[in-house]
Amino acid sequence: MRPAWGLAVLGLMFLASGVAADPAVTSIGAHEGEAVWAFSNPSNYTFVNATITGPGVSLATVLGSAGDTTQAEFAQANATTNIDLAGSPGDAMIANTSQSGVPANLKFQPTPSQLEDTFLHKGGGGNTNFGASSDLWVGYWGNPEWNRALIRLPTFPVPANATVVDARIELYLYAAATLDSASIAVHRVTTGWLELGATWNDYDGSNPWNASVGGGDFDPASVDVVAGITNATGWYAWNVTSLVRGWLAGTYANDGMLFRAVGDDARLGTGRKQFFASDAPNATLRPRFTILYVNADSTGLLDSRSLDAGGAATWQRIRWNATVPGGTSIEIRTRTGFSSSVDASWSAWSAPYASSGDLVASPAGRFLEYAVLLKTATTTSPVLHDVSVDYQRYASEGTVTTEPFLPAKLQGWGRFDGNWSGVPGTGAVAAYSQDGGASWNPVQTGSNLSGAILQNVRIRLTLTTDNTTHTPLLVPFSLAYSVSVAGGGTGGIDIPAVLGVPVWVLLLPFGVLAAWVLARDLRRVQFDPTDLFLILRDGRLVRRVGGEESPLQDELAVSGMFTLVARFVKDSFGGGENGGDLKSFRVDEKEIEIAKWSYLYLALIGTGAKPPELEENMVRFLKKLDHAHGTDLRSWDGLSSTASVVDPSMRRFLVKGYRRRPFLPHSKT
Amino acid sequence: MGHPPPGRRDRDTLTLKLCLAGDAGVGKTSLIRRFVTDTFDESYISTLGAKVSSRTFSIADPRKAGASLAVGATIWDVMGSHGFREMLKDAYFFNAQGVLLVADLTRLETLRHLPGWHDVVSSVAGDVPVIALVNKTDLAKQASIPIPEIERTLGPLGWTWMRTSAKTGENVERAFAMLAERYASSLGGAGKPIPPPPID
Repeated sequence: MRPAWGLAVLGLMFLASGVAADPAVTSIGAHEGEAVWAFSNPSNYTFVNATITGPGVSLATVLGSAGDTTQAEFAQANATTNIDLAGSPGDAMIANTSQSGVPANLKFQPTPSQLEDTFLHKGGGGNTNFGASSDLWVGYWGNPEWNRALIRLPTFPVPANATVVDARIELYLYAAATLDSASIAVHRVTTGWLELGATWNDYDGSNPWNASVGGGDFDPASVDVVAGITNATGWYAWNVTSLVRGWLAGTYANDGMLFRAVGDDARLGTGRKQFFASDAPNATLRPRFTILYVNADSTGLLDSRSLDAGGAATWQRIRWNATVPGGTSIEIRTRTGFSSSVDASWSAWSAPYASSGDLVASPAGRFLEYAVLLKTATTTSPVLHDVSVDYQRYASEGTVTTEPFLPAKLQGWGRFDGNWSGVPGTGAVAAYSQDGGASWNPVQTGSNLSGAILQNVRIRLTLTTDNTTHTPLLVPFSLAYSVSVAGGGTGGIDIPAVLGVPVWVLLLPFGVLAAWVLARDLRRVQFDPTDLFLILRDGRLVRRVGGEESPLQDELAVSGMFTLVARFVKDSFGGGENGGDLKSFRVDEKEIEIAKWSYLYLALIGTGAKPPELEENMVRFLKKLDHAHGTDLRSWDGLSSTASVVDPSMRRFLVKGYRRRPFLPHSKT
Repeated sequence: MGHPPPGRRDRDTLTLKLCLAGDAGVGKTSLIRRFVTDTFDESYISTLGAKVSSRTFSIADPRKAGASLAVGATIWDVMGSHGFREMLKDAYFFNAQGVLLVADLTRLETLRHLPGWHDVVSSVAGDVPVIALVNKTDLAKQASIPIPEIERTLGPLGWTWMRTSAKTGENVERAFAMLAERYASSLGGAGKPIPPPPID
């Protein structure tokens, strides 16, 4: 349901009358006034590195960003390890991508499809291929039998840039034709061959080996020899490290390895030694490899220069651009401190950030360092293009200066009151000028400006902080003054005369007019207040006292909407001498009077003619509330038990406080 | 809304200002409509850029085991456009006691904009309890943001998040109650002072 009040607020807000710009002037006695600067209209002040924040003025926020983008900036790093800044100017990458990492021990037993193996046989059976055989025979056993075995592993399951530390091949001897002790050597094969084609005479079943006697082409220098092989079954291992390294490095073609009995070409008979091939039915007894290698695992570390926020700051978000190919990574951490070089003020390194744009985890500080750890398990380096970190801090000093102020009929300046809050290290000082800002005289809160001349005055508040993550908060300040009373003839004031006629005679018609106005007011319907609302500037309804007559159906929501509308009205009407504050409106016979003081709104609902002093009394009431209960109200936790402390005062105000006469006596009581 | 006025409540009540933020079209207004019995027409949002609703409910009183605490919450809904966000943020988020950041399950960019909304909120309201809502779970059969993506985006920020649906009501009551409980659990000393706290 849309209440009539909501519509009325919207409708009347365009008709709302304005209020005088800062300072707000109130009378505190027959001859005294008080000017209050409550920052309700920014155009009435000159701000330098200061800004209106909530109910007061704080130092202005400085937003900035620091970081490294260029080669020169990266080059100012506090430390670099294995970092290349010159290969791609403006980028940082790993200089040497061939560093070794943790060793890995690979045990590998190839399947028949993974391993090419056969043996070359000269003797009974003629020139036959044994590529599909489950046997690998080795040895010279007199005329007519001579055997040599060929084994080739086309692909080694190790990373391309790994360093092979040790490689061994093991063959399982399951039988021997004789008890002769044989030494079996392994050689590098120098001619490619086909597993299902190679024979003693031919490397592919049709083309002969280069060796005139057949039996394969191989480097005569053996790679390793295992001696003393008789008929003892079991595993026999050959060290083929140099072979594997050469193949992986591309030093020579991988044409496999050849096993032969040492001296077989001299016809030294050591019998036939029978090993299992990859086609052996028992998969566990097939040839197997053990390769110890070290993965490439290169890292580069860049510990940046100290990025300077220009003052203590809260670092906000860290962003970076990088190219990170597969198998590579980038880790970025931060730490912060208050001196340009790392000392006890610096925090520990943060945890690595998950992604660019994360909030900085390091605490506030003037300086920030980031550390980038670049990693790669390949020959390709990740590339860091740039790093930037946002920060936020307050200006170290700022001022807010009022416009010149001169009350009418000024007789003397009075007490200055200014207050601020803030943590140690923050501060605010005041000064006033009566020569248009050419010179400034310091003034302390509570002191009297009675020595100031009767000229207009400007007040300047200077806010400072030695820790720019904190700001002092300046709250409304005031200056009292005294004025003469025209024709009053009291207080020792001389009564002037005009052309020999006392002024009081000349003012007599005005007195008659005042009496007529007074009489007219007496005829008016007496004002009857019904409800009083205390609302915080944030829109929360603190308390409501009064009767049940209010048509408000949802006072919580209405209070919030009220602050929005008030803001809307102020934005619409503010900016000139008129402050644009919503002061009052009327719904049917209901009069709604609104007063604002600092962070408080007071709304009074009633019927009848409003007393002329109502507005001033409401403002005064808010001041008193702030003075007496400001601690609870300003930090209101939302609990009704906390706010109920203002109930007695509000009830008193609703009953009769609104009628108190701050200035001229008025007929209606 | 028929709750007793603050000045007449017999037992302690908690008055809160809760705000919703998020891109246009993520369902903020629908979530509020689901939670409150509206007083003001939604045309106020386009007129004033924002609208305030209220709802009373109860949560566990963190100060006294087994007791409940009545909450009178004002729910502030703001137009999702960037221009209004900048223009109204001072009035809208000022001194909020909790914020629901809302994203649309079917639009990834709305999730990725939540940190930006949080920046806006915290620049005005300081450090307030935040719960992120990934809304429109009733549309999950359409293209939706995978949960790992949500975790990846919100997890590092340390926010509680939940999936909601203004259409089915999934988690709507729970989200508002949890936000109120988050604030209530911080009670014991004074509330957040109206003057802004230091940046850190």
